Amino acid sequence: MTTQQKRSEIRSWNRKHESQVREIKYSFHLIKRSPLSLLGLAMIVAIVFISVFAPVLAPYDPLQVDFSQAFRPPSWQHPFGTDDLGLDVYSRVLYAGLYDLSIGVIVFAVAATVGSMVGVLAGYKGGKTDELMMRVADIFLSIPGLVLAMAASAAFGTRSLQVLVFAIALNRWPSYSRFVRGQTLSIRESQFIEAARSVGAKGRRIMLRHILPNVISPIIVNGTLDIGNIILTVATLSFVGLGAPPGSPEWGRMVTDGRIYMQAAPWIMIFPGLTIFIAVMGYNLLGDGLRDILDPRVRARMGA
Amino acid sequence: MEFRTYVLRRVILLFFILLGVSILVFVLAVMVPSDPAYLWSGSQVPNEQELEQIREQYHLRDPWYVQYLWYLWRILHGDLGTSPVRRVPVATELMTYLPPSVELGTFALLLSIAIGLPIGIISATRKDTAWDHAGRLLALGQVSLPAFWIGLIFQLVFYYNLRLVADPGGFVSDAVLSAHPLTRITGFMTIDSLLTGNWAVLASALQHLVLPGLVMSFYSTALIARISRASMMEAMNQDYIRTARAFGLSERVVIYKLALKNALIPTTTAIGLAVGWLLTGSVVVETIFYWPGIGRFAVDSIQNFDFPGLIGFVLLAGLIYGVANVIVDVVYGFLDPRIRQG
Repeated sequence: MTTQQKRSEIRSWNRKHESQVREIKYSFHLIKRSPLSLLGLAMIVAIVFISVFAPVLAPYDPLQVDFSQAFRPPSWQHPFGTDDLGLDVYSRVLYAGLYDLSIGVIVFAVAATVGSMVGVLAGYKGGKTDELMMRVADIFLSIPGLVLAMAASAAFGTRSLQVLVFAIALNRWPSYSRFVRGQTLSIRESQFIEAARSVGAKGRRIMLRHILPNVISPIIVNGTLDIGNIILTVATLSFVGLGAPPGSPEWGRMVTDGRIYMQAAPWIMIFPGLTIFIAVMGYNLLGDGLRDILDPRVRARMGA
Repeated sequence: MEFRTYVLRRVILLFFILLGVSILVFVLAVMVPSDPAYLWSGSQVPNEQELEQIREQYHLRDPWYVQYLWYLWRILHGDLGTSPVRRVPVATELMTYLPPSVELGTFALLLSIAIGLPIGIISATRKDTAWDHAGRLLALGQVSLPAFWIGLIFQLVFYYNLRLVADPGGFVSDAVLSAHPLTRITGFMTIDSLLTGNWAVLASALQHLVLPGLVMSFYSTALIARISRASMMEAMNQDYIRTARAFGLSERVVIYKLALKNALIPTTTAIGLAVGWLLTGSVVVETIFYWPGIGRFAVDSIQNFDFPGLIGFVLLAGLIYGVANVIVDVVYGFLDPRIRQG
């Protein structure tokens, strides 16, 4: 391919996607003007980075017990100190990140998939289907999230990743359903749907091929920010004795396990908890900023 | 719509929601892959005879819809099962643990209104200033803090290091209570001691209340601050505010007499949501502060494999949350007639 061809191809791509490109550029412009969102983004990037590269960055094995090293306060060898088993708290915090962040992503994926399917069906079919599905969603929202997750994970009696994901997703899917339903209701009446229907597309095809692709990006934006709350729920479940089993490198569990040594060796619980706070705060800071950016009223004020 | 019809509709809706909650809990309690008889029997390794008895008692051999009807019948009669560990009816236990929780929750709610509302108003009236940013940052920090962690940090700082508050153990110190016996009237420690003028007990109770109350109030404070900021900003943008300013009314009158009144209405809905967060908070905070409430009862139930106890808590939480939201809806409809039309 010649340079000439390449250039013309890029130009045609730019023309085709002009509005999206402008949108993205504009969003970046707004984010840059909001220092708190940038701070949030930086916090998330940092946490994701150290979690993904935990095996490289962690100086010690998170499960290697060494009683001769127990209860060491923070030092250059052990930045966050060591716990009752002589495990390096810093290394465990890094490894735990991988676990907590993955659960966050998995729960989001499960809840968003189920929620979107229900929402698009309710919005597209309307009538009794809509009424029934939305009332079911209401029921799931009428028990506080953590309480529902506690009941579900206790009912299964076993502590596994699948149970944990299921228990937390139970309370998360309805909000995606509501959101997608609302979007579907407005998209349903647009002309391209009418066009698709006029050439004989059936309901299923319209929902999957024409409506869902149009709501995916706002779901991802909303959901990414939900991950912070999911991390908090996972940690809290571990604290009440569900979630991660004792001794496992998981932020909430580490705080719980360190609780008995709170006075003598407070670092065992301080640092994992601080990490939860930073991770969740990062998501909330970014989310708060993004919500403003996506809100047309705020846009108008900022001179869009 | 007539106000009475509106209220009636809300109550009927609540009834259906609660029915749904009972189905949901039933599904969790009976339809899970493990043997429900085993689940209801508790931690001790039960013998076959005991399991048979439980299967008989809970009609576990019948088809699921018959099981559900029996189950509904029992909860409607206040029978939430018997705790296999403590051998006490769950409903009786919940009733003993409820008053301390209500006391703590009410304290936390009042605290979050007292802190959240001013933050919201200040943020809205000083929009985009350092005040606004600080308020926002505070609210975001409050919702991002893991309650169990900050509760422990507070204990470490305010009790173990500074000795400013009472030890994290229950809701009044036993020594004070035995030295100054308290006549129980309402069942709430603070109110009873206030009514009988028992200042020593009141002081001790407040000392015990302040830290858990503060930790528990974080999430709802942020919620109230956020919603009151938004509704205050909305109110300040209305035409009548511009007119009032044009007439030369002072900013004080405009904000506190005119805008605030309308901004408070949507803020009431935040209180309904806050109750949900307080229920969640009770689980964590009561456990950390050894508070003898329903949240700690739930955690104890989990740790003792006392499944009926946990399910009882879930049903009670659903009931409290549902009733709180109906009350909020009714108040909202009363304050803002437009809502009733919807």
